[in-house]
Amino acid sequence: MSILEIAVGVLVLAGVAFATLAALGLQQFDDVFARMHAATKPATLGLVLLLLAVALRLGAADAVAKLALVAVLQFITAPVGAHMVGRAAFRAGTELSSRTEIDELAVERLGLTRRSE
Amino acid sequence: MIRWIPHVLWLTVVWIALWGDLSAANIVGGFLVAMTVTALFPTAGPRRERLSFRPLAAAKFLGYFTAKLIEANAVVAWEVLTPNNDRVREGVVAVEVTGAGDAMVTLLANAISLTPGTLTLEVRRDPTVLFVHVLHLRSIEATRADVRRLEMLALNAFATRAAIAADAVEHGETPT
Repeated sequence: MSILEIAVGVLVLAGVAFATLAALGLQQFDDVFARMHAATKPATLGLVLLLLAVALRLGAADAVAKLALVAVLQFITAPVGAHMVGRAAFRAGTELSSRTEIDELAVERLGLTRRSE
Repeated sequence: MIRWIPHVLWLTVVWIALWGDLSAANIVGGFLVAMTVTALFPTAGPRRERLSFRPLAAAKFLGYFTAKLIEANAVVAWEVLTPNNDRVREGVVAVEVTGAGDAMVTLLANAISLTPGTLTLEVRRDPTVLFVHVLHLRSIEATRADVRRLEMLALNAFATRAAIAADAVEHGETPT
């Protein structure tokens, strides 16, 4: 096995591990907001590691360009997606977990609920 | 017209990357498509905000961001692997952002969501306030300081000198 093949293997395994952690996190965390933490970060890094592995394996410039584009778009869209889900949950009045200690949006939340009634 | 240039360039780069072909014909073709798309959907094109670009400061922002991204993953990974611990203290913290226009707020909100333990939930303008969900709350001040650090790095990389100076005055710091 060449060093390149080992590097590719390690990257693929690490990528899959992070993707798995993201899935486990979604299942395990208490509320929507904590779950979005799990859905955004490990999923993004996991994908980037997989893309790196594929780029190393293929090596062709045109393939690498496409993979880089995928990574860039993921970095732009993943946090926006998490933000939209979090915002929707907040506006729908989703309860925060009992581990929440400070909620500086609480006042706004009451205001929004009243307006929608 | 000048405001459209970054948008047209970005679309051209996307086109070339998708075709994976760096021939002159493909570049010209991509450029024409980018021009057409920008002309047909002008709201996506022009930026009213004045931005600048400092390579060194941008590299610093990117480096800090990458380090934080990896840290964020380690933190969330550890949290997933060790359930039922008492470390999770959630909170929603309001953070006022002073020196930022639309593009800067977008960049900052995205960066916050990808860095450790913080997730942008809601954005208010005039004045700009980001509501940040925190997974491991230490204190409100610590969260605000983290966001402030990120904001400073982003401003130094992409904002105009005037914007940076105005922001420093807002925070009672001496402009550098």
